[in-house]
Amino acid sequence: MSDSVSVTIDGRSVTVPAGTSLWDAARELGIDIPVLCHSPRMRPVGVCRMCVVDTGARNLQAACVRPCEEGMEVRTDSDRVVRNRRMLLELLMADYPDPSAREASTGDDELLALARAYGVTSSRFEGSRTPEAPRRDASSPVIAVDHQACILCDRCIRGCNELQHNHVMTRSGKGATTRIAFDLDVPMGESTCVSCGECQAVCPTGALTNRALEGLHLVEEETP
Amino acid sequence: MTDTNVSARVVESVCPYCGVGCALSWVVDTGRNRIVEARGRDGAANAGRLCVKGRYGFDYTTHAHRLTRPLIRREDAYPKGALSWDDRGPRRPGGPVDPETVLPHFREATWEEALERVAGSLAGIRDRDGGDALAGFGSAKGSNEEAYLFQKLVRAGFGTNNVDHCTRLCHASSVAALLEGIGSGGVTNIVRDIARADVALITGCNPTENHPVAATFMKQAAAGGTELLVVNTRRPAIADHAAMYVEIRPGTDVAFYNAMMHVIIREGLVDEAFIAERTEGYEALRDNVAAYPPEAVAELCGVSAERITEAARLFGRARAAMLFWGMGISQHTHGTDNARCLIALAMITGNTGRAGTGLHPLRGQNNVQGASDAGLIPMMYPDYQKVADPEARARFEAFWGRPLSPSPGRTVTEITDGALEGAIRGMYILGENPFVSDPDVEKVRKALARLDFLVVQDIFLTETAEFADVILPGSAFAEKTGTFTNTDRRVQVGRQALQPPGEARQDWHIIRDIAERMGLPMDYPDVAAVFDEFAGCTNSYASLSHAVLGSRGRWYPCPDPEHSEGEPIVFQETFPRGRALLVPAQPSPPVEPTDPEYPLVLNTGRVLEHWHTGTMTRRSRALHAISPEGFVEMHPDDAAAYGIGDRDWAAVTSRRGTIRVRARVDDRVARGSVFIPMHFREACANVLTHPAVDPYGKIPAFKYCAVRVERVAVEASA
Amino acid sequence: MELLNRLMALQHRHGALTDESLNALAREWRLPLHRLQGLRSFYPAFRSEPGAPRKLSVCRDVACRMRAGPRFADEVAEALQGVGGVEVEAVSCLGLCHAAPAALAGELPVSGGAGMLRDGMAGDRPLPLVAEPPAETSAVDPYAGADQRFGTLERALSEGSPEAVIETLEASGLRGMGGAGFPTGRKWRFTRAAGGTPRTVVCNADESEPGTFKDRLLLERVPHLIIEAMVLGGWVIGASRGIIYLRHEYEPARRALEEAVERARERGVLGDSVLGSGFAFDLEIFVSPGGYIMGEETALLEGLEDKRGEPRNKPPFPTQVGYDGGPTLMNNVETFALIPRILQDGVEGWQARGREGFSGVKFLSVSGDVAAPGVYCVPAGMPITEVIERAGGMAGGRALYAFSPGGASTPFLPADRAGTPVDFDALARAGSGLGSGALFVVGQGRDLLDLAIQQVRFFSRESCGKCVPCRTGSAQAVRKLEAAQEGRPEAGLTRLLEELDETLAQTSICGLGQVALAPVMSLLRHFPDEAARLRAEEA
Repeated sequence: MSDSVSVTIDGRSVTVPAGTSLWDAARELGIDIPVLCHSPRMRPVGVCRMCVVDTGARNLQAACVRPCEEGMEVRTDSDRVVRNRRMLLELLMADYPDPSAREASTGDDELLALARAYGVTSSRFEGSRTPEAPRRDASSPVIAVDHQACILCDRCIRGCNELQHNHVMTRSGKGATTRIAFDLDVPMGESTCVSCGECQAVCPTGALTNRALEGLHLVEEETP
Repeated sequence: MTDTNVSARVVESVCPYCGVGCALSWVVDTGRNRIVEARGRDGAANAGRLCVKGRYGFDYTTHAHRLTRPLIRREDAYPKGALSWDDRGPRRPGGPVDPETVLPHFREATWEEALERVAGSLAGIRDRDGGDALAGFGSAKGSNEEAYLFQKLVRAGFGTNNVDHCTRLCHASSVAALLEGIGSGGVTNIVRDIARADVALITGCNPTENHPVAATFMKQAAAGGTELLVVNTRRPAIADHAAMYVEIRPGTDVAFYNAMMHVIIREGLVDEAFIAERTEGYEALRDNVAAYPPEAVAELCGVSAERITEAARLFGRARAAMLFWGMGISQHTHGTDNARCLIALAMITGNTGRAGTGLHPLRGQNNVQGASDAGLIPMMYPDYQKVADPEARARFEAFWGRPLSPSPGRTVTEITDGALEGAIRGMYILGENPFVSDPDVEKVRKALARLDFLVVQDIFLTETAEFADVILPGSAFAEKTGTFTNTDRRVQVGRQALQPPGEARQDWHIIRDIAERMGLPMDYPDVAAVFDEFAGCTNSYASLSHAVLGSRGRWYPCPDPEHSEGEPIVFQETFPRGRALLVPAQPSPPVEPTDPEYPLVLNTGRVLEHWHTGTMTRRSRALHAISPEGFVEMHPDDAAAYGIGDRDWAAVTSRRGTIRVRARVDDRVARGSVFIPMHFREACANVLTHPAVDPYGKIPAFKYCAVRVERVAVEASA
Repeated sequence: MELLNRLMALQHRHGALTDESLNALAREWRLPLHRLQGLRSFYPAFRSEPGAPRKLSVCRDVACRMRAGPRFADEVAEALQGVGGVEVEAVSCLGLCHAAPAALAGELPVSGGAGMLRDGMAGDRPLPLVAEPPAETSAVDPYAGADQRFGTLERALSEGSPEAVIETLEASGLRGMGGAGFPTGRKWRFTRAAGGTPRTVVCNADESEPGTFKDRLLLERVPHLIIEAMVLGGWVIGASRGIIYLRHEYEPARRALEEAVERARERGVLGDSVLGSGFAFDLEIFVSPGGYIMGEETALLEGLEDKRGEPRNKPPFPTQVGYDGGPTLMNNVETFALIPRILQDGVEGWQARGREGFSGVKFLSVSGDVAAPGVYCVPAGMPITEVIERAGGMAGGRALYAFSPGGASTPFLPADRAGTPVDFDALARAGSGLGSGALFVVGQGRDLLDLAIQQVRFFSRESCGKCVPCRTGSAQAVRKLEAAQEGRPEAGLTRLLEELDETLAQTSICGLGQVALAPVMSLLRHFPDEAARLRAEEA
């Protein structure tokens, strides 16, 4: 087995070590493939599917988890790719609070930014949350939880369990009712959470935010 | 939303709390001169991670209790004594010192008046009683530049080597053993090197609470295959990730490690080539540990011979093994012996100088390494040049242009004794709070009250400041620029993000102004120039400057900082003293054994959310909300035996005093011992602790004294 | 397996995984609580509070729904009101489609109307136990008597070679019978060639596709063939461990398997030296804590690793990185069961069993509007019309309206395609697929839209929730379809469904999401009357 592979991405070729993901290979070429779940600090999980690209296979492939194969020809922005990313965004935006707590304070909500970039200004879908499902958890003194803004990207879970190794967070439930949860599904403030804030720091949406920023809207000064 | 708009500036700095030295950015609300958010940066020590203190504990900086003007004690506030509360009267509710109870005893003054008073009083004592009647406590929370200037002031301005800081209270014994054994007090391998270790011995420390971000790398290593061998007297959370957890009885470390070495030697798990080429004194060590087969110490240590053997084999068979330790090793009257054992254990198995090996005493304060490097210790000039060495002294006399005292100075606890005896008459305390941090606070209180003159420079009214004649308002971490050296020997720049409040000043300016009024010029254009002077009188820092450190910092030594991050692993070929010296150690009995009257062993330590005497963290909204009060942790069996339930109020009494505190019943603490965190002044653990010190490191035995615990019906508050 | 087995044991003992018991387990095993919550909340066999002492699990999927109506579970619950100690729960397909409407009373398969079930649970009458269906399982058993069993294995071990086994399987044209139809010989070759450890053979006995029950009958009746083929697989790929992943609703199958494993051990077929060959192999039965998704091969592996059963991103495939990171040979029950026969027949003999150029035989689970639902072993290439005849012809005098040849994931086809032969490629060309070989037959007069929506609802309910398109898209589709079914189709619905279907098919991680809308999409393509019900009246 060869140690390196060459792929062509959007017409440009690149040679990378075997096992490199398409997402990383594209980055080497300066091609940014959009992501919500992936972070270079974390093990890729390929759950948001926003990074799907066209490799000529029957299905689109999630670039963050798809290893490069020799000779692969990849399109990152074909009509098919863009169309499907838009549908994914439309699904996620169905009942998304806008502005989310993150957008309102630090203005860096990654879902809203992507929705804007892809022109998804409205959704043909309604919220799918059932009324009895809990929406907010304000039991932690430092982190606010808004399940309605959660897209289950698993960044918080990986941040908690695989970066900080605090082992507090999980997906709870299954299918459409899946939520993030703490310990045996207790309020965050009553769990074994040590408030390291990694979950809040890595969250791409308004699901986990810094309570200290509630009511503030940060406008970053230009660095001279 | 316009009225909530915040004009924000991002400042790259480092965390002010522990020795891990996490790189972070502060988002500063420039309009209101406050930090609104902390974000982890991709630092060498933290890879973007932070803990609760670093991420949420910065708001102490803008707390209403901040000192903003110089204060001078009113004439009617003498004789001196504690002002904020007194055990003899009704107790006040918990929390940090309330300025309202203390401020009436002081009056505001101009900087000019205050500085004149300070310089005049200190110079007066110096001129009347000699320089050795003065002493200074610097701080491991200050920068390298501040530490350097402070010790320079004490040595060249006061004319004494009576300068020390809280390293005495944490790792002085480790440093004594390391200097003796290998000739350097710094760590040999950085924390993150644990990823390359087969086995890591983690002993006498509780990293998930005290070095939380370092702990994440330990846990990550464990998840990746490194086998953790955790040894402690109280089960730390890191034990959940361990291949093996061994609980030993308090104070039996030497016996335990001697037995481990016994097994390693007996079973041929030693690295003979390493012993032959890199060490000396092996025969004496071998002969010493021959008397400690596991069977002989099992009962003393409370660990079966099989478990000791198993631990020895786990460590001895590792291709690369690393050692981490904390104050469970160092804070004993035999702390130096404990550290000697760990050094010997590493050496006979050839575990230094390679990836995934080495000695790593986890440093507590963010700059305890740097403050020591800068000479904030009584027997050493910067870079561990001995004051007793005439050549070194001559060099510094020439460099600083002042005659210097040839005799090593007093340590923290010796300074306290000196004050009690009347030998120390005046003190300058910068950013330390010995009233809460030092053992047997009743004794410290008497000592502080006896001083002719005490100047305290701090950002809050501390318990120690209540004894001051003059209080000078300094600047918080985020209000100044300076370099800090973390547990990994990584030198990083903390950058000013905020303006000091009111008339509060940069600490190095205050040191400079006192020095100049005492006749010692300190004419530096900026703090980077102070660094350059400090670096110039060391080897370790010589190649570094603020400019070259940039936003990422460097590990020292770093011969080529333009192209290199510095050395994550040192002593690959040789040790500073040449060969490592193996020093045999024998177990010694505790200085205060338990007895029927005081049947329990008290262990003290820290909790995740708080920092030392709580002056900063107890003024952080989030940290206080998460962890508002102290506790005494007891094993369920002991709690049952003494009729104490979870959250009941209990009185804990030693021969030196009594505190009242809530009980926390938890089996992480062993039967027969109790644990009390040190941060809470209203339940001050150091009322109870014993002032006996280690003969080499002069470190107090915070981890061992005898107490009894009784249930109290209701909290006896006012 | 260790943790899920322990959780299953706790669930059985206490009727629930309570916070108290999980806290105790977390302390005992030094496990983080979140991990236990993740498992407890994912697997349907687990619950956090105990229910009534007895449980009646009523199937809600297509075959039963078509027979008993969409409210059947509710009707049973209503009938049982006043009968103490019984809890009625609507569940996904139980693999009892031949006996629709079906339910499980505890572990006992039962069948009948709400009144019969009530009386049975109340003890007023005997429980209406499910009658055995016609099942031609013995058709593939090459052994006339019990003492001849494992002869194929014995011969292979003494005279054959792993390479020869693979060559025979490749030449036979055998494809995976679980639904995906991957060539079996090639899978064995890949797994044998893959490096690494541990090496494992897994039998996927998590049959859960609505309408599918052939594996259950094979497990109950010819377990020795499955065991034999697994041992052979172990020998071929160099594995000494086999695991049968069995759905927990198949208790009779578990007992049959356990007995067969015990006998195999007694005969030396399992153990340190298989039939004296020096090759060691043993196998264990793992009872799934439930969920259709666990039949997805990588979800199954996650389950074996005591994780939430969320499918993995592929590649790598299990042949390279499977159970515990090592190469894993995983086949479906039927696939394994056919292998001894194929090796006995030889390539030509096997091929000759098929018709008109198609090779071998295929087990079909036939349910719905046929007179004799059951498991039929038919020659490959037999037209669907003939299969229906084999199953007794259309029931109740209905004419054929639609059929789905391979389970919920294979699109419905109209009656005029019923001449299509039973074959993977032929059915794919006809616009559907052979899938898991579950022929579901729908007669005229049935509400096909309701059935198709039920299939989509099944996928939505069984979605693991891992990836965005499946988790959100399938649920959104169900909501919109339900509104349409109630007579309120929204404008542009069919277009939206087309778009959603593309995204589900194109971006979902696993097959479940990829096919979740297929049943309804097939109505849009082939059934104009049903499709019209999804279009808003354009004024």
